[in-house]
Amino acid sequence: MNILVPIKQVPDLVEELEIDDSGKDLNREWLKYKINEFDDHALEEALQLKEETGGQVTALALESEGIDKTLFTAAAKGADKLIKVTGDFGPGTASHTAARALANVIKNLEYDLILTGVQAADDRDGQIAVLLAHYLGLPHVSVVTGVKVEGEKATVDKEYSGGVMAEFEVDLPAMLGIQAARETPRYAAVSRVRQAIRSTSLEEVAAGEVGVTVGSSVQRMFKPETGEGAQILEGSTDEIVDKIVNIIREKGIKA
Amino acid sequence: MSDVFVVAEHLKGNLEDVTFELLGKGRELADALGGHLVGVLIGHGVKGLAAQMGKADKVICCEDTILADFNPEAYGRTLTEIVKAHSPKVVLVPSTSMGMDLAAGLSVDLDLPLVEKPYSNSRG
Repeated sequence: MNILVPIKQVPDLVEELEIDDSGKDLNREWLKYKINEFDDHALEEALQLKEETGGQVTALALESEGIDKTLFTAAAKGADKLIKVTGDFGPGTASHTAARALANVIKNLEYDLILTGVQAADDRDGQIAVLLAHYLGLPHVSVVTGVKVEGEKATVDKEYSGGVMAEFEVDLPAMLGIQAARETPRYAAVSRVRQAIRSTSLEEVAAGEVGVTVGSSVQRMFKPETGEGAQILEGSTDEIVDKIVNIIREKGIKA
Repeated sequence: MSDVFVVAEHLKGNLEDVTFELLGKGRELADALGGHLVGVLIGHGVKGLAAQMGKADKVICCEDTILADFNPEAYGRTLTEIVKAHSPKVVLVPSTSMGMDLAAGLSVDLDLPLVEKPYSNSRG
């Protein structure tokens, strides 16, 4: 079974985030990056499926600073092939652009399943999984927590709110947006990553024409603005209810 | 067209809370845009839920047995056709598990910009 896992990296929150001088982006000078947690889960699920049914796992990522290490880490965890999609993909690349670029490359590859993280912390305009599925014309299920493959079909569990789950049967090839892998993503020791750098080849493929994509742009980036504080209400239940009603009336919120 | 569409979400015969949140916000947007607020209800046997969407000026309901349970493909295609037929200015989709399987597809199939998870907005 051939599984593709598009991954991306996101700022590591170990350092405090600062806004840059333009006011539209993070100050990236000292930023550390790490693999998007949900993509890590997608990779783990892909590796588990490979261990179950055999096959090959390919990790793909768009070119960006430091992405090689993220890809080699995927190899250290067990990915068989690595593809870096080259092009102008700086931070803040719109999700539509990213999805189109990936689709350009993926449409020339053979695969049964594409697994990618359900979302990333810095996604602004949508999630790659479903955008990519539509650019490729693939059936998709996102927010998936369980995957079983049998022949030409996958049976997946999709999470709804309130702890409700739905089971879907999907024809392959398909795209799955992974919420959580069946196990915690495995860890790759630094020595294994170094070994991967030496022994795994990283294939570079140009994104080609991405075309004019519909997207949004960041006008302003700012830290959450703190509110005016909270008010603690005390008294009996009836007294508290009266106070709440008064506050609602004062603030002019119509019932 | 300055209409605002709100895609209702329902599970097991009930509208999810997020639908009402979106209708509230949708009302504000529709009023600011000078258009109508239209609810979109897709499913089977859900017509009765339209009555709960009172904030909307009207509700478009599409029912079929194939839409009885949420399905990314069936709901996605239905929603795309509805939006294509009416050309609303803004479509609000819940930022939920179901919504995630719908919004991006709408954006690609109809070439519309998409912004996810806003918690406040203002017209510019």
